[in-house]
Parts: sequence; C-alpha cells; structure tokens
Amino acid sequence: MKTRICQLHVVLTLLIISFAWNPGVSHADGPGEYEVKGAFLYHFANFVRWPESTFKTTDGHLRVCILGKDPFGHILEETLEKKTVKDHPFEIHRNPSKTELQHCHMLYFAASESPQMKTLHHHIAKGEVLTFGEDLEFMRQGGMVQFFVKDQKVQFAINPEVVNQTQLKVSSKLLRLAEIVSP
Amino acid sequence: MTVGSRTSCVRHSCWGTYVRIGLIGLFLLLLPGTAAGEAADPGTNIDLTELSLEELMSVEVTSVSKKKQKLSESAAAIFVITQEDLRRSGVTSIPEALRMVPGIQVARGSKNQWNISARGFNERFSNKLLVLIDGRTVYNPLFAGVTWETQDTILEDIERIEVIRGPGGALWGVNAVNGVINIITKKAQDTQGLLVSGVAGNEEGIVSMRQGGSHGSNLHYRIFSKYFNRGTSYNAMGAHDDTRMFRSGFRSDWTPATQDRVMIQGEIYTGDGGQQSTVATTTTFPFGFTTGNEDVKMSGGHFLSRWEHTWDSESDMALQFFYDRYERFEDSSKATIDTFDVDFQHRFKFLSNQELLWGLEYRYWIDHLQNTSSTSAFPDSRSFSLLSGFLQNEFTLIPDTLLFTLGTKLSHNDFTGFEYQPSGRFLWKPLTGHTIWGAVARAVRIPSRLEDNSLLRFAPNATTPFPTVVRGNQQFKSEDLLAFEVGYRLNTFERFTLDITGFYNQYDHVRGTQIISLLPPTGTLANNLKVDTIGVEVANNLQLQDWWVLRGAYTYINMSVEGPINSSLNTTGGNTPHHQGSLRSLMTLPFHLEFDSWIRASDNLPATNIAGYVELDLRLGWKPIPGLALSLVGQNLLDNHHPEAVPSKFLATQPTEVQRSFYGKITWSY
Repeated sequence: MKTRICQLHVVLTLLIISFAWNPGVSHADGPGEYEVKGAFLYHFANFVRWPESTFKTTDGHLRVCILGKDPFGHILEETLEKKTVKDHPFEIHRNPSKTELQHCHMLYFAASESPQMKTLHHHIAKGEVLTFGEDLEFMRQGGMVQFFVKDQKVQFAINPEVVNQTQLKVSSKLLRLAEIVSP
Repeated sequence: MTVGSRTSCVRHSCWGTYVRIGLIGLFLLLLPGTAAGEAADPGTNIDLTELSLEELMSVEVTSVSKKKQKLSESAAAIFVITQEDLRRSGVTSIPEALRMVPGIQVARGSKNQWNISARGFNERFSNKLLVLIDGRTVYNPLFAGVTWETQDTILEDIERIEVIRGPGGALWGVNAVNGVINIITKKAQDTQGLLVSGVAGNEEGIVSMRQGGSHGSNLHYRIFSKYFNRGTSYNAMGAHDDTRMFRSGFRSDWTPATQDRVMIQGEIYTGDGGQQSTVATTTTFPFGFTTGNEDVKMSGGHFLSRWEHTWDSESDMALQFFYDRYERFEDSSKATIDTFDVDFQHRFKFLSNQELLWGLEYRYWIDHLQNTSSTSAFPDSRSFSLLSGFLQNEFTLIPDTLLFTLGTKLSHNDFTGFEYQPSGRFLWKPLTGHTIWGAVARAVRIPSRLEDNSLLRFAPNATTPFPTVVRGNQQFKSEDLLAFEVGYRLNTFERFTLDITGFYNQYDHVRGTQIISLLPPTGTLANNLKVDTIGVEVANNLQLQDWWVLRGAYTYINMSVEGPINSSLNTTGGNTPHHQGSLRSLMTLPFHLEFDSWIRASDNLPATNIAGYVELDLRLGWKPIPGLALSLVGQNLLDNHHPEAVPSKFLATQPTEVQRSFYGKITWSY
C-alpha cells in the first residue's frame, strides 16, 4: 500500500512538472511537402537508369520538366541545381512544348494536368521519359510514378507495367519501397 | 501494515519525494534560456537529398492531418508487419504472420487453436495481450484473452500489423500488459476494383472476393467475403480439427470535408471447428467423463463507426463506437457475449513543447452462459461495465533529440474498482540514425469473468491422476506488472537496420491455484505467484543486393516463477521457449518472379515434452501479366509433422501437430 501511494504521488508530481516545464523552444516544423518531393526527384534520378543516348539531346544534362502550374516554386532549383547524377547535372525546364516532351528525362504533371497524360502519351512514347503525377487519375491514364501524402508523409506508387514498356531501368529498391499499382 | 505507518509514508517519504521533485522542476524551469540557445532549429537547414529513401519516406510534412508518430521515434519496442511481409511470407492466417515478430510466442494447438502471447506466459488462454482490429478491441472477457481462431479477414486488404511489445497500459487498455497488436486494414480508397483469390493445397482451401467502389470522389467502399476449409491434421491418437469459416463484411471511408473523416465497417462470420475434448458428465464426485470428437460452433459479427476531426496539424480528435457479438457453442461450455464500446480521444498542443493526449472509454458487455457439468459460471448471465480515462503528456526537452512522455491511465471496473497504470518514457537521438529509448511502466490485467466466479471440473490427466475441481475466486485481484525496458535502434546505413530491446518485468499477484479441499480434490484460483521475466529481442534487416533482402528476428526470454507448491508453478512459465529465431530471405528475380524462404526455430517448451523444432517455408511467386499473381508455397517442410503445444489446463482438448503442407495460390485484381 505504502509503495502504491508513493508511486501514485510521484507520477502525479511528474505530470504536474511536465506541464509546467516550458523551455521556450518550439517544435521544429517539418519541411514542406514539395521540399520532400524535390528530394525524392533527386533520389529517383539515382535509382533509375536512362539509356546513355538520351543525354545527347540535352548536352549531358538530366532534364526535369514541369507541366502545368509549377507547385515547386524555387524548390527545384535549390534542391537540384548544384547536384549531379552520374556526371549529369540537372536542368529544369518548365512547360515544354509537345515536341520537347520526349527529351525530358523526368516529366512532372502538376495536379491540374493529370487528364492530359493520356493525350500526351504518344508524344512521350518516342523518348525515355519517367512520368510523375499527383493523383490516381494520372496513374489510370498511364502514368508511372505517383506521389501521395499519407499520415503526413510523402509516399510514392509505381506502375511497373508501364515503366517496363520503356528502356528505363528502375532499381528494385524503389519498387520495394513503392506501393505497386496496376493500370 | 498499521495506519500509522501509512501516515508516515505520506508525511515523510512521499512528501520528501514531492519536495525533491519540486526542486528539480523548479531548476528545470530556470533553465529555458540556455536550452533555447542551444537548440538552433535543426529542421530547416537540413539537406533532404542526403536522407535515404526510407528516411525521406518517414519525414513528416507540414499539412493538416492527424499527427502520427514516426516508427523510429517511438519510445517502445515496435515491429511492423507490412502488406509486403504478409504476401511474401506465404502465410494464410494472421496468427502465422506473428511468427516473424520478435518477442511474440506463437504455438499452434490445432487448426482452430492458437496459443499466442507476448513476452511469455504462453498458453491457449493467454491473457496479457491486447489485440485491436481497426480500433476495435477483440477481447474476450470470459478469460481475458483473444479467440484467435475467429480473427481473420482478406489478407490482401490488411495494410499493416503493428506489434508493440511491453506495457501499452497508459494508452491502450486494461489488458495491454505484455503487448498490443494493432491490425489495420486498408482504407476503402486503397482497395478499389475487384480482387478474387483462391488457395488450394493439401491442408487448406481458401476463396476470397472483394469489390471496391466509390460514389463521387470522397466516398469509397468495399464489400468482401471469404471462406476457408482447413483439413484435419495429425495426432498419434487420431486428430479431429478440421475447420471451416465464412465471413462477409464491408468498410466505407467518407471524407465529407478535408478536416473530417468518417469510417464505418461491419462484418459477420460463422464457422465450425473440430476438437477432441473430454467433458464431465455428472456433477458428483468422482464425476463421469467422456472423451469424443465434437464440432465447435463459432459465429459473431461487429459494427464499428469512427469519426476523426482535425483542427490543425497539432490538434485532432476521434470518436468511435462499436458493437461486437460473440457466440461459441461446444460440449463443455456455451457462451454469447454482446459488447458495446464508446471511445473518445483528443490531442492538442499547449505551451510550445507540450502535447497532451487524453481519452475516455466506456465499455459495457453482457454475457449469457449455459452451464454444463464441465464448466459453470455464476450467475449464468452477467453484465459489466468498464470506464477508463487516460492522460498522456509528451514534452520535448531538446527538439528532435530528447523527448519525454509521461502518461497514466485510470480505469474503473466492476471486479477490482479503480486501477491506475502510469508510465514514463524517454527517447534520445544522440546522432542521426541512432535512437536510444527507455521506459518504466506499470500495467494491470483485470480479472476475467471465469476467474471471478466459476466452477470447472477436470478429468484425470498427466499432472493430476484424479478428477479435480477448480473454482473461481471473488476476491481475485488484478495481476500487476512493473516493467523496465531499454532499446536501441540503428538506422544510419541504407542496407542495414538493427533494433534491440531488453526488458526486465516484475509481476505480482499472478494467477495460480491453491488447494482448498482434498475430497473432492478442489483448488481455487489465487493471486499467489510472483514472476520475474528477463528477455532480449532483436530484429534486423540486411539488404544484400537491390534484389535480395534478409530479415532476421531473435528472442530470448527467461521466466522465473515463485509461489507455493501445487500452484501451477510449472504451467505458468513452462510453455514459453527460451530461444526463438526467424530468418527470412526475400529475392526479387527477373521475369516478375519472387523467391522467398523462411527458416523458423524454436527451443523446447521447458516444462513439457514438446521438443524444439526448426522449420522451413518456401514461396515462389510470379506475376505473368498485370493484375494476375500466382504463387506456390511449401510450409513446415522439414518434418512430416511436429507438435507445438500442450493441452490447456482450462479446457481439456487434445492438441494436434503441425504438418508439412503445400498450396498454390492465384490472385486476380483489376
């Protein structure tokens, strides 16, 4: 009984102290969704292999294209510009024309552009383009990689069947971490 | 103990402690300036590209959604079975999947009996484990445990199974003494379209079907049905344990606004399972007994609804209601239980580094038992209520580096009145990728209905060569635990992760028996055992190649039981192996092939004649075209049959052995 009462008192006291404790430091807020997505793009560039021939038209750059209203703002430049992947520096290209599409290595569809995936498909088909989108609609239209936020964390889904129709080689590590979807 | 000594405790020891803690608190309050100066916000300048993919996937982004704790940031021993683990392990039931978790003991008693426990006390009616399925407590108040044979769903629709070893008392409930198993099914939006799957093999056949659909963009649903038929396994005396079960249910997720989520689900099941049991036929000593085969009838269902509302990233609430129906009819007992449960939780942040989580739960259950010569409970219908409240405060000393959590759960139950279960935890991240945590907690296991007031009659058996009677005990107290845990997690290298936990548990008032009369030989249940357990649990992942990963788990546990002789000393700790190991290899091969193997080993059960065993499962999977998955699986390949369990001391049924089995599986989804 004695120890029980003491235990209870100690717990209550610790609770009271913990409420009073206030060192005046706030929780560091997490990074923004697009900062994380930008970092993912960097990782994808490392874990996906493009045929060496695709770098000829881009002067050896790894070209990241954004279609539609760019949700990244300056983040892509800050994240990617000083980085290289296998000696290929990044190059960011916003709203490429239809003929330029096939020279993108990575093509990011802003959410508003998802329905376009299907119509643009044959423009992309000539090149080796890894497509990214933000919703299920995009995946249904034949997109390859979808980012989604789950429990406040950015996760990704891959449709390996679509990727396998291209020359792109996706590391199994990506596939292991991805949610796998079929069209 | 005299009243005087109690007063002196309050006057001296406790107030002394108050004063000392108060001074420490005061000192801490004077510190803020320095603490603030040191902690230059590490969150903003970090280069996210330097994180590994896994780390990046666990970064919480700032958005309005329910705050969930990162796995690597919980001050507890957690293991998660993912959907991928379920699929590639080749298991066909939830209990089998738990064999990959360190610290969990799984022994199959028959095709419809599972002995599952966390950190020891393994038994068919293990009682110190709390199991939740989508927030619904699957707790059988008759024996304070889980009827595993009726817990099932389409395995493809399970998102993950979180297993937390150790007391989750402060947060979870009155039965979370040694662990919590949280089975989480996928949201309806993640199970759209049709899925049909069939398993056919020498030991079982399973058919599952699920159809998902939506109405507009924010209402999704799925309906499902599953039927399985498991054949009779082996016993030298002849086995009778074939089992069939049908279940059908639905889940719907509705997001009426970005800040509100509503989930409803329901399910019904019905089935039967064979067992060979010995039941008493008369109630006068020396009782008559008959042994025979019977088919246990099991059926039930549930309905659950939950509403979650989020104000912002730091405050949210959840309100949940569920109703659960349980029916089980066998020769020795007949029972129906209806459970109603309302649960409310609210989380918010105050001051700048404090987060408070509080909740209230009210549970009411009513049972109807039909007394037999073997098992009687008094009165034959009873209702109970349980009211619990909990309060947990999480405070951060140094953001992202040092975190403390204090919590307590206060509950009231009809057996033992008020119970409190405090816990304190810390988490320290000295370097990126290294986490050290520790916890001290108290937890209680409240009495079960049968412990409180019942009468069981047993036939002569290996331990007692004459018929016996065991009575419940209305003075039965809660079993309680004081647990000490430390853990270390390594997550720096992309290709290797390690998780080690050590614990020391002190249990008091553990259930034993006490002889109260010799003719007829009668015992009563009593809180007369003290148990100390010590253990180590290890889990690791090794990515050998991009296409090849190894996952290992090891468990050591030693239970020492103290108490009067003739008080079930042996059976309390005797069914828990000292060593258990599991090693899985997952290979992703070209041509859409997967080859997976799983070696499991268990030490012998110390107080029984059950020998240790090593078993091997192999799986070959192939996805020839999108939507179609085929697999061939062999389980328990190293022996024709091997025993894993002894008969329970509370229901005299004959266990069967686990046999070598093969099956083929086809899954079609679009």
